[in-house]
Order: sequence, then structure tokens, then C-alpha cells
Amino acid sequence: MRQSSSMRLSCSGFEAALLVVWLVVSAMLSTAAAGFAQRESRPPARDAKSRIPDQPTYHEHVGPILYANCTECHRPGEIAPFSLVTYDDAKKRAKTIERVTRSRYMPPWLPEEGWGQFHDERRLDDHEIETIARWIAAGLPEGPRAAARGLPHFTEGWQLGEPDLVLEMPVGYSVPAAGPDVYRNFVLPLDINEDVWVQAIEVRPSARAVLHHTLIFEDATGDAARLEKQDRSGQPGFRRMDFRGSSQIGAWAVGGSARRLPGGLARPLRRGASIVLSSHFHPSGKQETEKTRIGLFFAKEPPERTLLDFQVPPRYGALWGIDIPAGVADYVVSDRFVVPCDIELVGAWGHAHYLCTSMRAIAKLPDGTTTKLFSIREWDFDWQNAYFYRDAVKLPKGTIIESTLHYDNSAGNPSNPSDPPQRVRWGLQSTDEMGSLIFSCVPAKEGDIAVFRDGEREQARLSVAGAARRRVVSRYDSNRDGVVTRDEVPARLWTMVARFDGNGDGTLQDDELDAIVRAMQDMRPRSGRAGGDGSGNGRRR
Amino acid sequence: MAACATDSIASGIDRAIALMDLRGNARTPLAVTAETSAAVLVFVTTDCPIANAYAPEISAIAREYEQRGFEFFVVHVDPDVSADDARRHAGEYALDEESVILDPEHDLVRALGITITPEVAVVRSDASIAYRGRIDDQWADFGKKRRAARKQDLRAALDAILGGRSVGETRTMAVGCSIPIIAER
Repeated sequence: MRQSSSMRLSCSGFEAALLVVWLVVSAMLSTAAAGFAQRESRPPARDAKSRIPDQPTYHEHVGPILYANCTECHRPGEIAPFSLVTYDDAKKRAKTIERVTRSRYMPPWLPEEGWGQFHDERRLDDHEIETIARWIAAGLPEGPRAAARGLPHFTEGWQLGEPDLVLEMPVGYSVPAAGPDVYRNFVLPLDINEDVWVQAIEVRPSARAVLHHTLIFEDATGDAARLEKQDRSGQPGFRRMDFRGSSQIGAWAVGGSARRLPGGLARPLRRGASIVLSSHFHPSGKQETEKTRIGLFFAKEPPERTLLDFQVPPRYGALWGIDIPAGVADYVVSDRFVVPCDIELVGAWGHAHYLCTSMRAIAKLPDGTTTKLFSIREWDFDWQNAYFYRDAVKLPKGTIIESTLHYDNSAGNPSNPSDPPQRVRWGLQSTDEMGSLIFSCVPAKEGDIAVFRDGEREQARLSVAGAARRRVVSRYDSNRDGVVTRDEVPARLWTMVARFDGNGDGTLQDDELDAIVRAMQDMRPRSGRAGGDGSGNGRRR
Repeated sequence: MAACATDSIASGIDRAIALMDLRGNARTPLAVTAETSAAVLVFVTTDCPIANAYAPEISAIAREYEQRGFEFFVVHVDPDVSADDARRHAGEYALDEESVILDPEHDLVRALGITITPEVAVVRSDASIAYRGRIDDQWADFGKKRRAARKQDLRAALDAILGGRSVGETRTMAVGCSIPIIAER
């Protein structure tokens, strides 16, 4: 399995836990085929001027909105805390529905409108939100029952059909009734005789109120099983996030839909490996036992094209030098990736921890045009989903993908895990930070994979250089004007300033700072060791 | 107790409001006797995730403050919840069954101006509402939960009453589910 090793080179290799999102893409989407077919048959955007009825009724107007966007989860036996199946269900909760739809807390869908067109979109348009509000203002009229549309057909159980392989946690994990969120990893031994290609992984939690999301890893090293054995808590699983050598092959969050990778693409899963679930629980007020099952859906034959993931900044930001002072309300991480060959983007998502507030990526094409690739305006750690483009986004060689992530480490951010705020650096724990926008792509020519890898190595080098440069500036630029002047550095470094001050103006600015960083990099062995296995962790001071 | 005159924001609430508990007995939670520090009413439904997540904290506060003369009620406001449903819910979430009452017609909800679950009202023997609002500030909004609460509003109010002080902040906004809409009578 050549692709297997190449994939591991780019996507795993470092911290297992940072793997965080990889194939989130394939697993996330837990929707009945029927469900999304129906959703996608809706007109993509309504005429903004189309009239909202003055007196909407449940059966004519509101019910259809709920059926198309909410009921898939809000029905008996499904993941949501209550059902929205009948008129009475909706009427009773109308005020809550209005609040959560207006604030766009529900339906859970983080990508910003206008930044990529994705499958399985769950977003109410303004027209629908206003319709619900007017229905409440009108006194919640039921309307003519004759107009009622039947509940859509929802698939029970596995949403993608019968899986090729079902794995279940051998022992249930007991989640306490109260207390902070719980993160825990569970090992599912995998008994397969040959390497397989996975097109989708579907997750079925047993305690639906508490399992909020789970990230799925392949561990071929046995590390995870060892860590689980060493755990002394008497419960299944283990807490540590630093199991290595694993690569993420899937993920699931509440409200996500299961979907097969497009175009016959698949991810490799090797014989002898274990599956590790890295799960995030919300205590629900009562003690619950979670025994997750996952269904694996295999490709009938090996894919013809290789799926590659890349991140901007690379490696969940491990190389970027994230270092957020306590109290800073808007810390910005930005980085870029120069696309080294023609590619087609098939999926996008992001990963960060609790301080992150928003993330965005834009593509600047060689012809001067720009494409908005992906944006989450209000990042929420709880709803980590991955998204598939409806149509692959073609990006020619030389396209620059720029990403920007914002972080709020002030006391005013309720998600801040530290009270009072603490200085936060890159790391694996939920009190640390990281952050990347992550894309799945296929090179337009299969032969370009090596070129793509080279491009990623260059990206990593530049990310490290950027971090070094920011360190130089933050250390010496005492007046914070972005340039380092001779009187800002100690006398012993004056010769260095003189050496790199190309234009002789007594200051070091952009290109001159870059020259210093390049010189620093040349002094070190080049191995990209900065990005080698586990290096991210090693960078923690 | 004269110090608490400013707490008497809402007077004239109907102290005689009687609601059924899980044994079918009528209870009058607003008829607070002079021997009682105050009545604490916590409004819930069986299916509001935020209200449910607070169940352990509700029980902890009740255990602690019942010993100090407060009387606690857990009030179900979903008109479709039967005594059996409420009993099952109390069992699941380890709430004291004795304290559970049903308010299907929203008599208490209206009398106390409750809009959210889980919202609490603290009612004194003079029928004033000494405190109404959230239990604490752990939830900043839907989906925005702090790792730990920074302000224990309900406990602070009860402590103030115990200490004969006026309650600092008598009204706060609870975060949770809107009180279910019931048919007009």
C-alpha cells in the first residue's frame, strides 16, 4: 500500500492527537441518503423578495421547514434532546425554536454563507427564520391539516446501509453526572486479514445526551493499547492525548451526517492496526454509560486517485509559534500555502480549541481572481464537522491559499478554559491552543503527488521561518512598529543588524528579517526536523 | 429582616396557589411561613438539556440549604408531563421526589414571572421575590458553557438572606429553554 505510507507522511506522523480532523470528512455526515437527497432538492437559494406569509401556519409553512432541517435529529430515538415531529411538539417549544434559529445556534451549521457550497448544508435562510417568527407572532396557528405533509422517510439505524464491519467499545465508559467535560480515548481492536480502503465511518453513540463528538484514529503502533493498559482508573480507555504514530481516519459530531467520500476516494486502514476513538463528553446531569459503535464502509476496490490532506498553517499550527498572552482579545494566526500543482479540493474543515473565535481561508489564483474557500465566523469546539464541496474546487498550480484564525484569550470569552486567563501556547491539551484550516484534495495528475509533498515541505519551512521572524520582532521591536531598529537591539548584535540591513537605513524590516531567518535555518540541519514526528510537542517550552 | 425591604419588588402574589406534588397532595409553595428562611423554586422540564445538566447542582444546593431553613421545590412546567413522568425524571437525575410539583397551567410561572428553565425564584414569607434568575453563570449562552461558574448567584442570594443582608443582584437572566407555550385557558 504505497498510498498508505505516503498519506501517513503528510497527515499523521506527528502527534496522534493533533490529528484531529482528517477524515472527519468522511464520517461526519450522518444523514439518511433519503434525508439529504431531500434536503438538496430544495432550491439552493430562495428569491429574497419572495413573500413571507403574514400569517404562516404550521402545516403549510413551519412544519416543512422543521421536517427539512430539524426532524432528522429531533425525532424519537435520535440524538436531539426532544422531538419536533408534531404540531404540538413545535408549538410547545416555539419560543425556544425562534431564539435558537435567530441566533443560528440551530440547526448546527458553522460554515459562513458564501464561503464554499457544501453538501448536507443545514442552514435556514432568512426567509425561513422570519417565517417561524411570524408564525409565533400570529399565535401559532395550526393551519389546514389537509396541507400537512407527511413526515419524511428517515432511515432507522445505520444511515449508509449495512456497514462492511461494525466495531463496538468492548466495555462501556461511565460518564459522571456533573463536572467538566471529559476527553477520553478508547481502543477498538480491529480484526481484519488484509489492508482495506475505507470510504466512510458512521458513528452510533449509545448515550446520546453525553457523547458530543469523537475523532477516529488508526493506530498501527500499539501505543494506544499500551496506554489503555497503563490506565489505572478502572474505566475503559485512557486520558493522555499523546499517543503517536496514529492517523485520523474519521470523526463525528452531534448533528453531522454520514457520507461516503466522493468519486470513489477512500482512506487506507492497515491490517493489524487498532481503531482509537478520541471522545468528548458533556456531562448531562445524570450518570450515563457510553458504548460507542462504529460502522466501516469499505471501497470495493482501491481508489484510482490519492486523497491528500493539507493544512494552513501546517500541522495544526505546531510550527507557527502560537503564543497568546493572557487577556488579549484578538490574537491572529495567519499563514499561507502555495499550491504546488493543479489540485481539486473536495473537502474542508477546521480545527482549534476553545479560544479560537473564527477562521477563514481564501484562495488567490494566478490569474488575479480570488475564491472564498471556507469560513467559520463563530468557531465552536463542540460542533466539529467536516464539509464536502458540492463541486470540487479546482485550484491551479501557483494558487496562494491564505488562512486567518482569530483567538480571544480575554476574560470576556466565556469559552476561555482559564479563569483568570493564562498565557496560552500550542499544545494538545484543551487548555492549550492549536489551529488550522484543513483541506482534502486530489492532485489533478496522479503523478504530481511527489510535487505536492515538496510543496508541503516548503510550506512547513516557511511556517517555521515566519515563527522565527515573529520571535525576533516580538523580542526586539520594543516600540511595536514592525521593524527592528539598531537602537532596539543590544550593542553586541549591531554587527548583525549591519550585516542584514540591506538598504543601510539602520532598521531591519520585512525582507531583511526574512534574510536573518533564512540564515538561521541554514545554520541548522535542514531536515524539517522542526516538523518531524512529535516535534510539535517538543516545541512546547 | 428590615434590611431586606428593597427585596420586596413583587408583592401581591397569590400565596394560596396550590399545585399537586407526585403523591397527589396539594402544596402551596408561596405560602412561606415566617419560620422558613425562604422558598426556593427551580423551574424545569424533563427534556431541557441545560435544566437537566443542572440537576446535580440543584440537589447539592438543596441539601446544603434545607438544613438552614430553606424549602426547595422543583417545578415542572411542561403541561404534558405527568406525575409518573416527573417521578421517573427525578429518579434518573437524582432529584428529591418530595420536592417535585407540577405546574401544568403555569400558575406559578405567571405569578413569579418565570420565562426560562432552569430559572429559580426565591420567595420570602412576605411574598416578596428576593431573587429570580439563573442558578449560576456557568452557561453564558446556548452552547457556551464555562468550565466552571464564576458567579454563584443563587447561593449568594441565599447566603444574603441567611446573613440578614439585602440580596445584591435580585434579578439575573437565566440561560436555557423558553418556558413551553400552553394553550390559553
